[in-house]
Amino acid sequence: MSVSDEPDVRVELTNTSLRPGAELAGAFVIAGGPPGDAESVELSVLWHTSGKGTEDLALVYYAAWTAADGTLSGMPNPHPFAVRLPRTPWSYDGELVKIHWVARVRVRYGETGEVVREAAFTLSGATDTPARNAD
Amino acid sequence: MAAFRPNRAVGCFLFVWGGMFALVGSVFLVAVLLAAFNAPQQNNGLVWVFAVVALLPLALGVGGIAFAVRIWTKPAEPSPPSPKLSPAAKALGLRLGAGFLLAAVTSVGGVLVAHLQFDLPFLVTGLIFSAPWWVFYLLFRGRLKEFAALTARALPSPEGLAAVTSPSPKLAEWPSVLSSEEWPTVPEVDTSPGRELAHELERADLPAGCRFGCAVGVAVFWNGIVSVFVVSVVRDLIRGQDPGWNPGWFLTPFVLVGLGMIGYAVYAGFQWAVAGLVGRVRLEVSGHPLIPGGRYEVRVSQRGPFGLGGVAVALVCEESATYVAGTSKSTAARVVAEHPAAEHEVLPLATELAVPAGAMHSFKSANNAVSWTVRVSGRVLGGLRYRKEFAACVRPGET
Repeated sequence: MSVSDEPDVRVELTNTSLRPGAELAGAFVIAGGPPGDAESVELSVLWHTSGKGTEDLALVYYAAWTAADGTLSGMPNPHPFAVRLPRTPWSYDGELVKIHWVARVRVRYGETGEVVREAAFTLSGATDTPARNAD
Repeated sequence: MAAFRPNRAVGCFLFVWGGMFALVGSVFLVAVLLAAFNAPQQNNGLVWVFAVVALLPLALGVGGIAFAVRIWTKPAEPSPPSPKLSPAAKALGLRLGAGFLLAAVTSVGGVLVAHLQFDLPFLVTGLIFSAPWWVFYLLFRGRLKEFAALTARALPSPEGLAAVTSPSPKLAEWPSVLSSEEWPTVPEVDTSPGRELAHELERADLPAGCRFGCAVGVAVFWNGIVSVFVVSVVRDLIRGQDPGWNPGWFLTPFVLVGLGMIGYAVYAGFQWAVAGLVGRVRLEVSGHPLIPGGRYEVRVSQRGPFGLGGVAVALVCEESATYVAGTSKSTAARVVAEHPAAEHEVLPLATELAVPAGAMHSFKSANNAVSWTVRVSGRVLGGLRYRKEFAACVRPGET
């Protein structure tokens, strides 16, 4: 499958700077709907680490629509979502450790095709975000 | 949903491929060694090169089998969905497997025939061994990439995997579990009731006596083994005998490492002695966990034979990251922030500890951590340095 056949997936959030415990609201849309040979669409809200260490990842919301179980055809498009966020971990931009929050949509289609789109946001209770340790 | 046993499937895959690698490696190794012993006059050093080449697939194979056994014997845990290979992937996998087997048989058979039938030189034997693998790689290079892509597709996405394998929260229970877990990823740090203030912090680092004991144990173990070889070589040299190999090149790195261990053991012993001179240092705080933007009363006291002077107290933030390097895990740590609370004091002292308003909270996940400690440092007997770390938790305030 050529690049031009990639589905056009967009993820948008109403607010990208959130306080602990706040509600994340947004929507994703697949322009023209999922491809005919789409295998699955996954929506997740998660935090993950980057930096020197092995990546850690944890979900606070996950939903999947698959062709195998017949849910893909009934998936709303555009699909709005609202997720209550936990109070921690805060977004963090350290030297060895960084913590990122994202809403991620993954579309798998064809034999090997895959599109991943993310919308990043920050979660922090600090006065300046993302959190840091300097005075 | 049916009970999936993907671990067993992966184990079978590793066992089969590991077995093939081990078979190829061991047969080649035996052939090389047989050739070396049967025709020692041809042993011009290449035999050891071929032996090492044979050890690589053997080691890979044994590692694969060991990993498979480990997977099979591992206690049951939440399993990700079983990888479901498409028919195209299965067909391609079969073709690749057949090609691999053909290359293995040709390679090993060629080596045996070349040596036993024609008694060819080692260099030619090596070429005969490696040629089928190169042909296999050149013919199937594109197919290997395709198979890797198809296999990757058969695996669940990282998010799907996390959704199934995360021990908590369970997918079906979201978001109720999340809301009940008040501070996800913020580790609990235990304290005990203080005498003057509300909390007494516990030490975060390993006691100096434990460090010394561990250092001595490791140094004795390492140097004990190395000394067997060193004594043997020295005895040969004293008797004027040739050890038959060059001991200098081989033993020097091991001896240097051993000396380094002895040096660290001496240093740890010195630290232990200093800790004994200082005695017990206690640190109490008026509140815990610490909240960003908060100010806390701190008291540091000492009970020991010699007074600690030039005492400094600081709130310290350290990041640590665990990563895989080769076949082992390593952890890197770095102090990223220090917030002094007192300097050049004598004990007992009372001071105020301020947590910056923008400070990151304590954080711990499987491979990454942000840790906070209160460090007390000073000098005893006029010059001997002393340091002790107390574990603290910085937690966001109620929101």
